[in-house]
Amino acid sequence: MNSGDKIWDSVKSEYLRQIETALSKLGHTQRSEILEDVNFHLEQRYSELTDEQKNWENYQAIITDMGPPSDYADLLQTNQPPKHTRPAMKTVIIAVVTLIAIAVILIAVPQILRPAQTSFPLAISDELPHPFENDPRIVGRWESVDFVKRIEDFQPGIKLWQGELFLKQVVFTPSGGTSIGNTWTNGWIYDNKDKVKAEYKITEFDGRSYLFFPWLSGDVTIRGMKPRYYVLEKKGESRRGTQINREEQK
Amino acid sequence: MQYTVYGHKNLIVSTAGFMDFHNWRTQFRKGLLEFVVLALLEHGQQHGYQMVQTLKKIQSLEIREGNVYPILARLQTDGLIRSKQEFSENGPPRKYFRLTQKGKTTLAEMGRHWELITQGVHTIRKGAYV
Repeated sequence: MNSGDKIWDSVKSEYLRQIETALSKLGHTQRSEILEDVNFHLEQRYSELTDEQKNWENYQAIITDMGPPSDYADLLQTNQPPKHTRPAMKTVIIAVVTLIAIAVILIAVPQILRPAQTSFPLAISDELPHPFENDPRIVGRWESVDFVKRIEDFQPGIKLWQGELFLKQVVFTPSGGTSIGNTWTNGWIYDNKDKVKAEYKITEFDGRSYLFFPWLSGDVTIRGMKPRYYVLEKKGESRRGTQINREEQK
Repeated sequence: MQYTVYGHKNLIVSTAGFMDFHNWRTQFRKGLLEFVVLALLEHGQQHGYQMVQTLKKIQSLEIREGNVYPILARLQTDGLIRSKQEFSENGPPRKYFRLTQKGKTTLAEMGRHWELITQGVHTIRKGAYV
């Protein structure tokens, strides 16, 4: 069902495509039903907009209200496996003991090889904490103004980095993508290739928003060093957010 | 500020603590949403958009509008609700959901369990068992 509004149809199609990807492990019937219901809901929201309200920003706001595509898969998962596939307790115990033994071995090797200057305490966790949570403050286009070793080093109006800033700008989309290949969730920037994440921070100075974007270079991802930060200033909303997210998803 | 290396050779090393309130809240919400959706349908059939408008009024649920649809899909798969299309003079046909008998029974059990849990937690928080 297309509205005839090309921008809205494009925004809606992209969101539905991302949901379909998130639900790719589901059966066709269940997936189709959810997509049909969500499509209907989106069209209902669109029909409630006045002509003046029909613009890219409001379309993105609707998508934000719907929630990230990862929510759909997350809410469909159950913690309880089907009875006929539940393994015997003995098998579970053997599997857990084996995994612990492997984990202990894998911890010991990197600890020996890791450089001595790594100063962060390490702990083992069994979970990957990757829910997506929106942060409306970060959505949009940001331009670099400085590159600092520590966040507290930054002074508005004074560029500390003497050379050229390699990173010129970053666009953050409402669905967790960026224009430079990283992904994000509330408070975190991810480098999915090197499996590293670091916290970002947004502050206000004199009515301007500044983003401290952790630069996940090889020093961070390989040598375990602390990241430095690009300081970016918020610019006008990006109208290419949806297109950029589609490209970075390929 | 924290940074984390994750997913490397099935090993996760983290500088964060183990107690993750955000994750707990996510899991808590997930279970609660099923109960709340069934409770809504106890009062009569509704369509998805209508249910979302009602649920959004409960701010503590922190529901996003799309959340209700995977919940409805799962409840339908589990046989607790069923759906049917109803034609409208004013627009396209809408899909209405209603409880099945199994759904009514499950909802009643959930309700009893909810009462027990909330009473127990309330008692603990007041220090009655300390």
